[in-house]
Amino acid sequence: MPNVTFIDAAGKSKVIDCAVGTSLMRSAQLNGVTGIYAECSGQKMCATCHVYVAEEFLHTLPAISEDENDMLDSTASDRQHNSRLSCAIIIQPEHENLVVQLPEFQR
Amino acid sequence: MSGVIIVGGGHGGVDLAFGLRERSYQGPITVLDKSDFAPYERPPMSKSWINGDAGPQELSLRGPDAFMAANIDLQLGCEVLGIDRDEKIVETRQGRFAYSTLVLALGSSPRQLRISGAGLAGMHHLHTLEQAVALRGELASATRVGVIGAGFIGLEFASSAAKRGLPVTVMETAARAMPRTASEFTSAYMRARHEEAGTEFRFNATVQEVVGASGRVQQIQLSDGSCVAADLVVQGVGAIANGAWVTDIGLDFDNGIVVDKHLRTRDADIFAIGDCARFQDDEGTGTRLESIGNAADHARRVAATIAGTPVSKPDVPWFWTQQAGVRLQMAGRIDRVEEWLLTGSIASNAFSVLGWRQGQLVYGESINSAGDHVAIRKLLADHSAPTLSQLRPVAETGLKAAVKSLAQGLVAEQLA
Repeated sequence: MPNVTFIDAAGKSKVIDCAVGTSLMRSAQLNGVTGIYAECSGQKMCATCHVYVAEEFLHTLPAISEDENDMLDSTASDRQHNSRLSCAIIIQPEHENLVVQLPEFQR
Repeated sequence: MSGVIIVGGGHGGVDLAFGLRERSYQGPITVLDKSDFAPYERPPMSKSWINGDAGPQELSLRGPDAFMAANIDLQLGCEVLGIDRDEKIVETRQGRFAYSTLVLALGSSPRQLRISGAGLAGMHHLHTLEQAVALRGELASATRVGVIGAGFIGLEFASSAAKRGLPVTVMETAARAMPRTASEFTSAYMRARHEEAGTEFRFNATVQEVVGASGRVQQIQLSDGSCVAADLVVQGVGAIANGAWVTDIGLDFDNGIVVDKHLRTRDADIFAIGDCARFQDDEGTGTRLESIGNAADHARRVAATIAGTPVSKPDVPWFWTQQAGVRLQMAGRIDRVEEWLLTGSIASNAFSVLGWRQGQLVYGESINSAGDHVAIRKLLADHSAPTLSQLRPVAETGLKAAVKSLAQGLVAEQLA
């Protein structure tokens, strides 16, 4: 169960255990992380589970699909080079100690 | 100190409970739900979950620890027996709960067909997790599937059943698929995709009787005299709001619990949200919407009202469905549409159909075009859409390109 740290826009962090094979969005929801809304239940249709991923983990993530790319273009807080939808990040063993920042706004 | 009691642990009720904590509401929060399952999400039930082997817990909206960590008292298997508005007490099988604010997030229930044979074994609804579990159990041994109603639930389920290689027949009283919830362009496009996947349609078909020997469905008798063979049938013929009983406690019910634009009933301490609420919309018309987006929007606004934080503007209504490998997303109000305009090309399998009233954009549906959908939501929220006559000449280029070229034209005009 890799540990993942969420840091909110105010700088407050929360560490959660994520099951391998589960999406980061789902893990955040199950653990009550505030600021991940996921209104489309992980269909890459709503851009309300936006996160900024720590540099050193970017290479561990799957490529950005066209749908995710479209959605990232319409996030409520600005898209950065390390922006991802947390529903598109499926937790793997190499995500131990992954750190993601939450945007100020999701919608 | 009595706090907030939320009746109903669906998407709206759960969002409200956590939304209150997110807004630093300090009082007690209790969620009462009659189901024995912990709050779960519904969209996958008709799609990936029905064909998978994941257990019910895979659908959990939040982990059990999340309720505890947020100090939200979740009471399962807890049916409400009565409400005393003078004493501000909710009576349940588990005991009495005092409230200062009560929120009814009761959801809706599938409409029942009043026909002979509707109660036979093999006849299903797909609305609760209990029903989804039962349906998935029987789907494994089904040989021919019938679907009554070509709405979202019916078509999503038809698509899932066809994916398993089962012969599927969809019966619909109207002349096309999704008659009230999609344009004719989209209906026709979706019909073709479903037919490619092997699903058969029977339009203008009214179900007269369900027939089966030895207590199990064997065929559906249609009013034109023809029959559809099926040993498993899902009925998706719409839903009705729960909560008609609120009239017993002096609240109003008219195709939903009647609330004002702030989601308040005539009792200032009782709100209703989500599928069960008939609210005053942006034009002052009583409206009821069945969608997670609507439930989430209501939850967010009522959470802010109760917590005393700024209340956001109502969201543009939005909805999505996945069927026959197509992603369909809608935004706005289809019931206000007078005229349609296709943007992009159907042949590209990615396009949007826009709905207009008096030349103004009121609705849009996007097929395999998530970017268009987001653009439509923004145009509707900001009231910044071009008019129908402006957009029509450039519609073929696709929504985003058309809007961009019109904006550029406007800038060029201003510079000239």
